[in-house]
Amino acid sequence: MRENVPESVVEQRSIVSELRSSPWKLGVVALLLVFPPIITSAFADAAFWITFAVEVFVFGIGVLSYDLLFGYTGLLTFGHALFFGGGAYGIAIMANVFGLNYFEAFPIVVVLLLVLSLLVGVAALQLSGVYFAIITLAFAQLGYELVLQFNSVTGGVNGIYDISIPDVIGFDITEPVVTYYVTLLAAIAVYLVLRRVTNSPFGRVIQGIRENEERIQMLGVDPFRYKLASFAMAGVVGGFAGMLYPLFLTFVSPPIINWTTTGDLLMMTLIGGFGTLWGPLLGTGFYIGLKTILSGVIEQWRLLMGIIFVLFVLFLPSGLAGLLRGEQRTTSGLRARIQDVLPGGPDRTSTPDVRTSPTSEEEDRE
Amino acid sequence: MVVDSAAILNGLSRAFLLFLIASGLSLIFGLMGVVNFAHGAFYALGAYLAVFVFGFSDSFLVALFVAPFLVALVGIAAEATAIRPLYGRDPIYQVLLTFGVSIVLDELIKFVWGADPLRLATPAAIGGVADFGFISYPAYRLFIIGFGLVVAAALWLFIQRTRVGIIVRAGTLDSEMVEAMGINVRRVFTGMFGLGVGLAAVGGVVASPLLGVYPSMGTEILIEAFLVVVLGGLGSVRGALLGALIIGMAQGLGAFYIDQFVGLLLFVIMIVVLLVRPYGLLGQPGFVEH
Repeated sequence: MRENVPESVVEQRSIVSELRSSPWKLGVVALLLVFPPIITSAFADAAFWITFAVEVFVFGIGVLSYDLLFGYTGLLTFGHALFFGGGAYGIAIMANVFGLNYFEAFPIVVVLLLVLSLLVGVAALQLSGVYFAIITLAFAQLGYELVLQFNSVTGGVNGIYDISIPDVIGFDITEPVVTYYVTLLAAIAVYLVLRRVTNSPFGRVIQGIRENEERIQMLGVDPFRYKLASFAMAGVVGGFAGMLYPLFLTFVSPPIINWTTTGDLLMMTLIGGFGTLWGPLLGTGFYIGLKTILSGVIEQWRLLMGIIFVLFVLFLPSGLAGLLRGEQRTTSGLRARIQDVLPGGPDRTSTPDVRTSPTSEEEDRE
Repeated sequence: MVVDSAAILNGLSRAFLLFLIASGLSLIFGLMGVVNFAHGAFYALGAYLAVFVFGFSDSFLVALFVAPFLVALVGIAAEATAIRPLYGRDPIYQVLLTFGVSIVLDELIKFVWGADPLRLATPAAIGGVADFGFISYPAYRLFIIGFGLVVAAALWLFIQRTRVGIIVRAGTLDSEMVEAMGINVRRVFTGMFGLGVGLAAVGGVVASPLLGVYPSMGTEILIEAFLVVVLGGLGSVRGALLGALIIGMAQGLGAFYIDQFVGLLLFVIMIVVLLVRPYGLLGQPGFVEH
């Protein structure tokens, strides 16, 4: 198995000592902490940039959960919008139907998300590969149809607007600067938890499943249980990201649960570099940054995003993370590296597969 | 139980429309193992190009033949430049790539033609209502049924009776063996990808007078096409026909009896079928490994 674990985390240290020993991380965290006061004093449209940052943090959490499934467990899902949108809608429906405020709804929605992801996971994980992609898409679009169909509960195409979010110890958390710090802390917490998870024995097993499921099974481990646990965790964390969504938009509407949302998460993850945690976060910043710039210039910003995504799939599947690690200097090395970062990996099957053998690679080059 | 005959005809016309799209999806998967997530986008592109060609020629027939041909060319270009380099990699990469292609095409359509819906007029010759005494029914829907039957027959003859058809069938079973026999399988792949997306475009043109031309039409049909091929068996054209008939009739009758919940019913059918028989009614278990 390859070393896609940052050296600094191999030994578990406290966050403080870790930051002290790594100027990079300290710099990034410090910059993020002082961003709001600086931006407010420097720009008249500071609220715009703070909302932008909040969007990056919220989608960043969603992308981390997507990466846990796609990058670490090797499961390509087209249904993550079900959880991301489900979290947002869960909060909104609790407000709309039961009159619960944000904090009363929160724990209930977490439990519901866990149940939903376990149910969907048990069914979908009976399949693998492209069939898994199709069935997760089917589940998610079923959710989308339900949202559109049950007007009285979900508000139909209009969505839900009146979500009451009470103050916390005197702070209005829908105030952009407060939302900024809340979502920043949430993103850092999720990052730390998932880093811990992916470095744990559990994390090793799911990465083993990504590399070679048969071999893991041969070791006496039941891959299904690990995949289900990973699926449920990704579902709950992805839903958690969705639950933060009403904080900065204060309304929830159907596009959030449509498959374009899954597509956004997928593109952010792949452009950033799946199988690492910091890469997809970088991808989220890149994607939302480019979207924010482009959507002011041209309405079809996704066109350019689609082209960038296709180019990444073809030439740089290890994403920005791979680029920054400087792994791919030469084009001949590129192919070998591409083989390396496959979810299946070069030694995916125990039976020799001609398609992934070096000889067929030679033919490709001609 | 009395079944409304209009509901049956609705179901049949829907079924043959779905068959046009799903057969291409199934052909591409059977031969290349590529699950074409861009299939819906090619379907939409066919519809939009038909409106474009109709603007010049003022003839539905010309649009019906020229638009799919243009789409096939786009498909061939996409296969040759983007998908071909990925055959050596995990099939997941082809899903990722065709997903990317679908976004590019969808957005390109919106960029060129705008987001507002367009219309393709029903050809005058078959625009009226056919009266059979016991039932009056839109002639255009009957045309779809007839046209779908003709395409199904032509596809069957092509696959069963032509030399290329033999290569396609052999390639579906074992493409490396076919290559070892001295046949350029890659070229057949490219051609069949063109044919497959061309069929999707034919479906798009035929659907336009009935359903309208709008940007999200591709996504909507893609999921139904998946449903059809999963039900019938990925890779089997006969399966696509069977799946299309089942789904089409479910929609035709469902719209009559359970109204707007037919959309939910379809997803439930899909999920159940995937779980009980992932390789479909007429598919082969081996394909599950893709």
